[in-house]
Parts: sequence; structure tokens; C-alpha cells
Amino acid sequence: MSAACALSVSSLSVRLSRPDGEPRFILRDIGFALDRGETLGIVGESGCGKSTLLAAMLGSIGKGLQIGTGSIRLDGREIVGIDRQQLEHLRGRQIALVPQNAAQTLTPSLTIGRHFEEQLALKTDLPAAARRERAAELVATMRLPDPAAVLARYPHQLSGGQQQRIGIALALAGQPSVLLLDEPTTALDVTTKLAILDLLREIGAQEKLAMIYVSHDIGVIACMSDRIGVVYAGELVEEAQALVLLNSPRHPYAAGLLASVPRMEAQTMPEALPGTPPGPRPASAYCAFSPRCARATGLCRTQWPAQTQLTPEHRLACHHPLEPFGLRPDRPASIATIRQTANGAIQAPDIPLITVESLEIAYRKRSLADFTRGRTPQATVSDVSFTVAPGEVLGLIGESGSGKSTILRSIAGLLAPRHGEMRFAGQVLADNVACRSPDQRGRIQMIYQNPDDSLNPRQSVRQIIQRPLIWFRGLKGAELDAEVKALVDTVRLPARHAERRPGELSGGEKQRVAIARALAARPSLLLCDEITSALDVSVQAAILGLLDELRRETNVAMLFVSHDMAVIRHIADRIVILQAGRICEAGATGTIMAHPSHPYSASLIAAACGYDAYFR
Amino acid sequence: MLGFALRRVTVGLATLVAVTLLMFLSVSALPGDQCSASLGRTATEGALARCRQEISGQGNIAVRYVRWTASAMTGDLGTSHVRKEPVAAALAPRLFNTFVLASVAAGIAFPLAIVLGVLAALRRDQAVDIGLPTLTLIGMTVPEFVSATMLVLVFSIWLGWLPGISMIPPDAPISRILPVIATPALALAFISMAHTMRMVRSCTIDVLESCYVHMARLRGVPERLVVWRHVLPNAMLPAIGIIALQFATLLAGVVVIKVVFNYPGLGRLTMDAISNRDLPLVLGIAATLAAIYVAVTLVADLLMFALNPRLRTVRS
Repeated sequence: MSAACALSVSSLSVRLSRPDGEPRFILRDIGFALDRGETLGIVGESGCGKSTLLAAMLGSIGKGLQIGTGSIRLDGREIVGIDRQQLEHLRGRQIALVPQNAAQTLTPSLTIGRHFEEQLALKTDLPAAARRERAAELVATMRLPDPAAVLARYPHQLSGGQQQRIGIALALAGQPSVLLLDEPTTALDVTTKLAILDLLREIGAQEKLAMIYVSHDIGVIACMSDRIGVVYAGELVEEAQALVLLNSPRHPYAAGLLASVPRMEAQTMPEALPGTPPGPRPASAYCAFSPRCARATGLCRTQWPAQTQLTPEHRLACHHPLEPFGLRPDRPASIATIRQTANGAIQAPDIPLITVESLEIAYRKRSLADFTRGRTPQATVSDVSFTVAPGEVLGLIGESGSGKSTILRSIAGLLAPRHGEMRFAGQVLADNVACRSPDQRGRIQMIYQNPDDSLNPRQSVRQIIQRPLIWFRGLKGAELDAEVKALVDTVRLPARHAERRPGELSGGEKQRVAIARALAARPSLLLCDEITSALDVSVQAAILGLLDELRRETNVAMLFVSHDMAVIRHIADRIVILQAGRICEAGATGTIMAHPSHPYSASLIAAACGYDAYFR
Repeated sequence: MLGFALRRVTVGLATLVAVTLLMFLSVSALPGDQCSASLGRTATEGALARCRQEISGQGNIAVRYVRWTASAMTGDLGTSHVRKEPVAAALAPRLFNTFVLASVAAGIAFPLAIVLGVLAALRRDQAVDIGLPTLTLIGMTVPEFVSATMLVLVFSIWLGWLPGISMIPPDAPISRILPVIATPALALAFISMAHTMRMVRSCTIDVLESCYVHMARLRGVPERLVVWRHVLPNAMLPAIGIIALQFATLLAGVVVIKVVFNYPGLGRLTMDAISNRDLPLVLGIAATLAAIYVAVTLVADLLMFALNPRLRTVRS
């Protein structure tokens, strides 16, 4: 590795610092080099060590961890083992981080201007007068209107997208040569996300930055990276040029990860990757991926695969790699595709399960002041009407704040609408869940985005699933046990999981428990609120597959809320696109995808398709 | 800002009305009445009847409350039966003395509590952080009359550095108050510091663990600046509320300490008023203490509002 490299990492290991016992590794034997103007994308499921890798490069691996071996060189200078003052000097000047959640990383008591002033004073030689100008210039580079006004604001006065732009501008203030990006667009809407990615690419090229982009979103990695590294269980299992890796991954893990990404143009369902990554592990003598690998043999379980150089730019650690361009297995066609080819365009059915008519919902009630001034608080959702037929999946899509979840809350009876009518199976649905009949309550069930919040951590899976069985169906004794067992099986969980608590399950398993709980009441309608957004892509694919099977088995209808067009496309028969609380377009999935008639739907689809261009 | 201030003041006044009304009602509901209380056990039936006649001539309880409130607003809190002087005249010098004592105690306690609390948070789980809370735990759990007596024992009797009790009249000039104030102020400061320090420590730890402090470090801001610029301003905001409450307690509460030291403040006056069944005085003191609490928390709320940009500025 030449000294000219902006960043070079070689045989880096990070382990838990426990004085006794076998050392356990978070990162093991990581090596790569990065030149100025180059972007390396790092992908892997959560818990594979991506964030630790970034932290190591900033000299901040946190308590309880220590760097075992290896070296990290910034512009040829070793940073492993240097003292705090030297690190403080380097950070922001030679290497800078764009954090994941900018809203929480800006100090609430300081104005944006003070943030820049601090950074410029510390990291540049500019005199005080020039610093103000430079700050305004940096803000303007981020395409934020009226820089002077932005600098005068406090962080909470900016939108999420604006805060993220400020996060990037702050990282650039000290003119670093290496920029680390930690999922900087995960919290953003699709359109904002695309704008930020464009901006990053442009600035990266302009400033000749060496960038490391870490994300679990392979779509984003695909559009940002020159090279891609795949991390599994703290090891770099494959690294290659982006187009090579995306189209011809050789490591089974890389291939599995790619197959689980829902794509706009693919005619097939995303494919799940079974299992979960292991935790910190000893320097074991076997391939970490072998327990989840279909190609694993005895060799994989007894010998650790060393890294081999396929070409000067393609490195791989696998005993049984896939053939080049081996990733074209016959995958099942996605349901939407099958139905549309069978029936042509899907018509809205004659007998709807649920009808929602001219729904208007506001979070704030009219206050006394509103009455006296004769005004009405802004409605979050207005004039929304749709129907869902038995066994149908209706996708509700829109950016955050467009009212998707609000509509679900109203249908669930948790938030009374201001106007409008809801009819369920021919009967009027009361606004308040307490006023509905037990039958209605049982037949409409909700699944939330984050199973960590929606499952009681003190109850076992059995207790969680039992509750609705006892409540709605009056089961007891052997019948109850049998039904719990059947439900655990329905959501493809092993029977022994019934005795576990949510804390002992992975994110995907927890979401399966939440689904089982919803199914326990024998619902006709499932309200799914972004139920895959908190999960890794590999797990997301499995959950989507499960829902699709459940629908075929039980003919349950779903109202599926998501902000991800590619996900909706694979699961929904029809979609409703919401913008600022109003329906801007509705129709059969295939029709809208092929011929969006509203400019907003077109931009959402274009944004989601953006990634597909890289898989060719 | 103006709207917030107006709302706060309104709520404060409403609290005051509620407290005085409650006090007024409970005083009326006491077994025995003002007359039997003030005239004592030796009072003749005739005298009692005359007294009761006089009071019922003042109208029913609602009318009396409104009258009392109206005159209280002009500074007239009625007349003490026992002392035969206006309640306000009895209160004023003692209120001033209490204020002097509380201010001295606050001047010792709060700066020390902030410095030590922040220090403990910064040296988390090190000797300082283990030693200080243990010390404050003692401060909080030992009954105040014990710690006060201990102070007298150590500083006045064994060492002889400070006077043990305050032998001054209630209306003594400030030049005579200050020398005798040291022991009670120390006792008060010790207790108040214990509570405040623990709260400052936990507020500071919350902020130290926040994303923005971590990010400031990752931006390469030197640790000294991280603490002064990013940690302290944000950690002190919630501390203002706690300090205000502690200050109100110093002014209005901790009656026992003031009695132990025989300090001519509100505390001793309260004890006297209660044991003499001097109901107008009790009422006057209760109203004053409530007003102090309301005023101090009001000031703290406004201060927090002014210092917190999240409240001060509207989200655009």
C-alpha cells in the first residue's frame, strides 16, 4: 500500500476487552485502501460490525472494546495508539463523520452559526471575519436557501433534510480528505434522500474526497460506491468494484443479501436470507457464514477461509464461491405479477370488506381560541376514500407526514376522525374502539412498525399470543396450547420459541410474534404500519414472503403502509398514493407503476427505480 | 414569550387563591374556634359569646374570605389575637431575616452543588463520584435537627468558633444578623446542597451521554470546550427548576433548623403562631409561604423559558 493512499487499513481487529478467557472479536482482519476521489460502500446486516469499523477509524471504539492488532493510516500516518490531543487534532481536519441522525447530533443550545464558528475556528486558520463568510458559503453549497437565516437558527428549527445537510456541511468545514458516512439518509424521505445522495456524489468528486459509505440499504450503496465491501460477522468477506459485486457476487452471503432487496423492475419476490449474524465470536477455525450457507461443506465448518485475490480489484474469503454471474436462480414470481397477468388489471371488487369514505382526521381538536377566531385546526388527512376487498392487499404509500399511519389509527379506532364514515363488512364502524363490538375488534388487527415497542418484554411469546385467544375466542386448556402451537408454526417460528421472551428473539422473529398475535383473533383485516422498515433487508424479504403466504392460506385482507415503493410493489394488489394527507393517485399496482398519472407518484417511482439501474 | 408569561402568572395566581382558600376553610373547620383559641381556657362564657357575636357579624365564611383576600391585597393580613399587632407587622422583619439566611445558605450551597455535581458526573464511577454521593446521602438521610445539633456541638461548643444560638431581636439590623448567621446557614446549605448536587450530577450525565456531545467529540472539539460549550448549558437547564425548588424550601421550609438555632425568622414565628393558636397569624404565614413558592417557581419557569431555545423560538 502506497503512502499516497488517503486511508489504508490493514489487518485490523477489534475485540471485547475482557481480561480473561478467549478473546471475542467484533472486527477481524479487516484490510482495504482508499484513494482520494474514491468511494467505498460497506454493506452488511445490523450487528456485523459496520459501525465499529467507522468508530475505529475515528479512534473512538468505545468502552469495553479494544483494538487487537492492525493499523489504520490516514495520509500515511498511523492513528492506532495515538493520544487524545492528536486525535482531536485529526478529527474534523483530516477525517470527518456525517452521522446517521443529524437531528440528535446538533447541540440544541447552539445556533447553526455557532456550530460552524466552532468548527472553523478549531479546524481552519481563517480569521474571524472570514469564518462567517465561509460558513454561509458552506451552507450555500448544501443548496439551502438563505444561508444567513439558516445560520441564525437553532437545530430544532430546521427540517430533517436541512439538518442532514448541515451535518454534511459541518463535516466538510475542516476540509478533510476522508469522509465517513454512517447511513446519512436512512431517516429521510425518498425524494430528500435522492437529493442528498446527488449532493454527496457531486461534493465527493469536487473535493476529491475519499468516502466510506456505510449502509444496510444496498440501493443507496449501489448508487454511491465505486467499490463495495461486504461485511459479515466482523469480517470483510468480499470486496470488488461496485458493478462487479452487484451483478456477479461470488460470496454466498453477498449474493443472499442482494437477492433479498426488493426491486422495482424484477418480476420476482425478494428472497429471504435465513438465520441471523452471530455475535462477537472467538477467532474460530471455521467460516462464520457456514451455519446459514446452503453451499457449506465440512471444509467450511473446520477451516477458516483465508482471503484470496480473484483479480487485483476483487477479493473474496470463501471456500465454495458462486460462479461468476451465478446469481440468476429461478425465483418465484411476485404475487402482484401473477395476478395481473392472470386477470389483467385488477378491478375494485363489488363487495368490499371495508369502505372508508371522505375521511378527515385532525390531531388537534378545536380549542376555545379557535372558536373565537372562527378557524379550524389543520387536518392531517382530508377527503380520503378507498375500499379493501376480502383477501386483498391495499398499499398506502407516501412520505413521512403524509397521513398514512394516521389513517390506520383511525381505522383501528384509536383516533376519531373529524368527518367521514367507515363501514366494515356492511356495518358502520364506530369511531372509538371501545364502542365497537368484540367481533369487529377481533376482525381488525394492527401490527406496528417496531416490535420492540409493541411486545411486552416481560411476557413470554406464549403469553403474548394467548391473550387474544382467550379474549376473543374463549379458548382454554389443551385447545389453547394447541392453537398457540399452531400460530407459532404459522409464522414459521420453531416451537421452542413459545417459551422465550421478546428480548431473546431477533428483530425479524419479534415481528413474526407480533404477526402471530394479530392472527390469533382470526382477523379479516390486518393493519400493517411500516412493519418491515425497522428490519434488515434480508429479514424484510422473509416477512414479506410470510405475509403473502398467510394471505393465500387465510384470505386475510391487508392495509399495508410503507414509504418504500419497491416493497409495496411486491405485496400490494392496488395502491393509494398519499401526499400531504390527500390521495393523489389510486389504482392497480401494475398500472400505476407503468403509467403514473400524477407527477408526485411519478417522482416516487423514479426515486425507487433509481437503484435498479445499477443492477444490470 | 409574552403569552407564556401571562399563562404562567395566571396559573400562579390561581394556585395562590386555591391555597389560601384551602387554608381559610381548614382553619374554620378546626375543633374549637378562634374565640376559644385566642381567649384561652379561662375565658368566661360571656366573653366567648361576645367574641362569637363579633365574628358572625362579619358575615358567613365566603364573605369573610373575600374580605380577607381584598385586604390582603392591600397588605393588611388582619390582626394577631395573641400579639395584638397587625400580622403584616409581625411578619415583615422575620421574612427579611429568613430571606437573608436563605440567601447566605443558597450562596454556599448552589455554587458548590453545581461544581461538585458536574465534577462527579465527569469523573463518573471514579473515587470522586463514589465519595460525594455517599456524603450527600448522609446529608439527606440524617434528620435535620440531628445535623443542626451536631453543628452546634462541633463549631460552637467544642471549637467555640461560632455562636450556637442567635441572640438577636427580630428587627435587628443586617449588621447584627450576619455574624450569627454562619451556623444555621451552614446546616441549611448542607441539606440543600445534597439534593441539588445529586440532581445536577444526573442531569449532567444525561447530557454527557447524548448524541450531540458524542458527535462534538467526533468532530474533534477539545474536551474542555465540549464540557463548557456543549454539556454545561444543556445540563444546567433542568437544574434551574431544581435549584428554584430548593431555594423555595430554604425560604419556606426547614422550620426545625430555624427553631434549633433560635433564629428570628419565619420558622420560629410559625411554631409560635401554631402553638398559640394564633389563627390570623397562621393564615398570614401560610399565604406568605405559598406566595414565596409560587413566585420562585414562576421566576424559574420564566428563566428556563428564556434560556431554552427550544421553548423560546417557534419551530418554522
